[in-house]
Amino acid sequence: MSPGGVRGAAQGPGGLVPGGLYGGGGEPAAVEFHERQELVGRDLRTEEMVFNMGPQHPATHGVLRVVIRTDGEVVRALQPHVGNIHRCCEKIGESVPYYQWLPYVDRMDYLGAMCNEHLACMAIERLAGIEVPERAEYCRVIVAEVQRILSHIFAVGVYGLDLGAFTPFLHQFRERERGLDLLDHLSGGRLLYHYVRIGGVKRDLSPEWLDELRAFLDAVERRLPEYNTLLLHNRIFQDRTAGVGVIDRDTALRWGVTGPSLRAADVDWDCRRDVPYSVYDRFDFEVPHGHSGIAGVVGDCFQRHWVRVREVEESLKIVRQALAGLPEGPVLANLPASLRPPEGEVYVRAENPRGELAAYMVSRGKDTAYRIRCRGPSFSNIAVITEVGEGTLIADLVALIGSLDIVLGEVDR
Amino acid sequence: MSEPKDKTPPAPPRPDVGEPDPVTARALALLERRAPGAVLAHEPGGRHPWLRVGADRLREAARLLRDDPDLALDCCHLISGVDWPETGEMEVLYHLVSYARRPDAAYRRRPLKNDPFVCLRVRVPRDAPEVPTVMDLWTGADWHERETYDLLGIRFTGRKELHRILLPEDWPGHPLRKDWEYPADYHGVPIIPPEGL
Amino acid sequence: MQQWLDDLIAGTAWLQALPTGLVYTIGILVACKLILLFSSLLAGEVVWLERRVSGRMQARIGPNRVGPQGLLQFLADGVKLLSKEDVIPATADRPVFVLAPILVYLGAFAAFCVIPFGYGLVAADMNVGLFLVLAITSIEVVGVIMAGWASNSKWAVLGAMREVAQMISYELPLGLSALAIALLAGTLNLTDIALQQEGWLWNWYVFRGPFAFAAFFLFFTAALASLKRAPFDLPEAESELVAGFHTEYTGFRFAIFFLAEYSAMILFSMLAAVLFLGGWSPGFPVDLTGPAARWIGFGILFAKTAFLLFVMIWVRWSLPRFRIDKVMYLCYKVLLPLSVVCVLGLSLQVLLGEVLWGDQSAFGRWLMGLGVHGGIR
Repeated sequence: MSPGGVRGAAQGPGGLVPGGLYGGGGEPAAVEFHERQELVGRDLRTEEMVFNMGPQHPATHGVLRVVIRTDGEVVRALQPHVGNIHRCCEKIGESVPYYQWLPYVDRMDYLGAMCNEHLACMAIERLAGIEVPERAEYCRVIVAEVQRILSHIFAVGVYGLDLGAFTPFLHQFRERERGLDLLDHLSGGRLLYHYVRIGGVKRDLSPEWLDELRAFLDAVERRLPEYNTLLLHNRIFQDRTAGVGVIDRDTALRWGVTGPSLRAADVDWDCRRDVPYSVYDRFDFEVPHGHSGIAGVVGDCFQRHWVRVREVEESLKIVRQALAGLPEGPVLANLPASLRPPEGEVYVRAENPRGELAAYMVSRGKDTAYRIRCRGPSFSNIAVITEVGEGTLIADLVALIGSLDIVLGEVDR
Repeated sequence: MSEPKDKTPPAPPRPDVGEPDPVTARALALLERRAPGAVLAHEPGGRHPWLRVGADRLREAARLLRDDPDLALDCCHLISGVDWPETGEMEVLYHLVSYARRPDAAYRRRPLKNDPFVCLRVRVPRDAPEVPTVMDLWTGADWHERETYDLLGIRFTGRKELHRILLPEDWPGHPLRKDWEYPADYHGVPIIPPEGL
Repeated sequence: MQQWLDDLIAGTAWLQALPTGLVYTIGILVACKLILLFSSLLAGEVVWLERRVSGRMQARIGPNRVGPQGLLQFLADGVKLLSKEDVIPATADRPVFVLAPILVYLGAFAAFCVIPFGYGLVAADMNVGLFLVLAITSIEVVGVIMAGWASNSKWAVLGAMREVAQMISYELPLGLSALAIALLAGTLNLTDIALQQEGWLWNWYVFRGPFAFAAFFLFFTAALASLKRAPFDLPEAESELVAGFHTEYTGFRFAIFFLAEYSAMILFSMLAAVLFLGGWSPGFPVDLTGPAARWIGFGILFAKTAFLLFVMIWVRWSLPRFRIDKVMYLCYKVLLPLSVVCVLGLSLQVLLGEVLWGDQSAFGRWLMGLGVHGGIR
């Protein structure tokens, strides 16, 4: 028995778990449903009930486990437990050469694999002082933004699913499928690409592929109003999300919430614009933030949804600009078979679909990193529900978790 | 694989110096003025400037940095631990960023570091790694501290109970320590270390 | 039914030799069996309809392999569910757990015995038909809370609690808007209510004045809610409560819940068609009470039912789910006051019509005419 853990803890008369809800790693809390005998032959009394939401629960987007203590439908306290799909990304990073580490990075945020690769390559390139050809930078921006579009429309559709609207989910899959095919044709993988490489990208963009890409962008642009009719402008959707799960500016910053959720809290910050990496400083795009002007208050689930919808539009703009300015040239720098960056350290962050992915890397001149530390944006984003989820209804908690758009692969890494 | 056929040596890395980082310089000046002697060492420029403080002055320094209206480091972006067995030390790094202060165009064009983060680092002895918590300053540090404890065994003091977060409670050891050995089995399940590790 | 049996006995020599009570009993059993067959087969087809319609709405195909256009899909589903392991959780309250789906299905199915499928095509032509339908369908609540409680699962309990709260609340607007029609009809006998709407289209109760018109939509909305159909599907909200009260049910017990849901859908669609949409009246004067013609009437009623079912499916796949407090808000602060207004308005309308014109429906027609006139202008 771990100190203060909840495993096997006896149920107190108050229905609470001794030692708080602060359980340990993977094992579910053994919280007994109150005995039926207790209710017989006594005055009617009420007590709080402890739920295990997950690890197998349709609304937890993977294997998140949230222990919630409810009074009827109202959540009184909650504690998220993560780590169910910890895959030792950092440990592997210290054990394998830099080149070999890249495929593992894909698997952190499996809905934003291109963006992960982009950041990992950037970190290693800065560590080793590698110059990336200009065309490769454009290729990276294009695939990263296509990835962002895919990730965001997926988030939009899945959010509908969380709120009980099944149709938008399948509608967005129609476009997502095209996008996945697009990246498949480029890299050979539908979800995990290993396309962005140290010093450039694996393959050049062919003219046929660029035509396919343009058709995809047009399709997304055409369909986006449809999703908005089904969700953003739907009265029930607005009722469910407006004013729900409000993460205000201060809370968001204290908890380290980043990405669309931070922008929804009216923080005008986007790494692509404010800490420009790659060639993002050459493109003109807006950073949606604050209030949508449609419904709700700043920082609620509705604004988070709206920010994602708007970001899809901005990403479309960026990809089109990148297509217009795509320079000629090589797409991969000449690199040695064994990459040995000089001794040093580096800290890089980039705007991923879910927030800011950051990596701290230490090299000691070997072909493997001495220490790699990754900041998964979902890791910080999901922690905030501990505070914000209190006092909400169970249905609102589902709306809140869905609006944060977490990927558990990235939380656990 | 990504490496090309010809094995030309890479371009020599750019000199890792450059002019001092203004954000770090401002942080350093602030700490030297308000908490003299707290900064034990510092690296003023380059790709990754940093300030090293003693573990006992960490919270003081962190609070000063957070509350300074000029720096306004309102977010603790990442807490990382590094194990240095050669010197018998462990290190905790705090990458602090500000969302209230946006870098100007000149800063964004800096070649080596265009990200206005401030890195605070603490060294503690390896046999008793204890660092005061910063959870009350940045609530989000909670999970990062738990993860650092989980994977490196660095204890954060002065906070609520410190539990493992990613690994099971009874996992043997802290895997990111350099001397960590693969256990033979875990609850009867044999563990075969991957080849070459 | 009794009429039929009497005719049958009178016309058949060997039946006269048997005791009349026995013939009645057998006749009723056969009728029950027919209704059971009808409702469960139809429920299966509604499942098919739902899947095909939702498929079309969601840019996919839906089941189209088993039988023509996938029409026999429900048989395949039934076989699949029958062949699944029947799991009863170790901590479940076994008898209650087993009984619950039967009770739920009973509530949905038993009410069919007073629904006229056409003139004379009714198992029990009762004077309290409407009342009986509302009463029997309420049994479902008991079954649901039994299922939720006996499962000994927290999600199931929560789902059952939601279900009970929701169904008991929505009984009120549902009953009141049905009562509004009873006021107009002056009877609770469903056959009589249907017969009163024969003739031209404006004889349908839904077109008898603005209050009756509103009552139809109130009835339909309340029916959606008490059927747990989206956007009111909170008791089984899959993204919140896993599967609500039937989380722990598997195999055929689960299939019975499923069947009950779709049977209840058919039931309420039929009831709405009989109460508001003229029953088997096609909208122009034609006698559909003859022994053969009543089957045409059955077809017409069936078409109306199918339309209402389609609307239910359409709504379900278009809208997100309400939240529990919004559902309660909608019930007690919107639907209930409106249905009370409808009942009062309709009583006034009947009263004024009788006093002023000597015809209780005259005033309603005048109001409706005014409304249509205004609408056209």
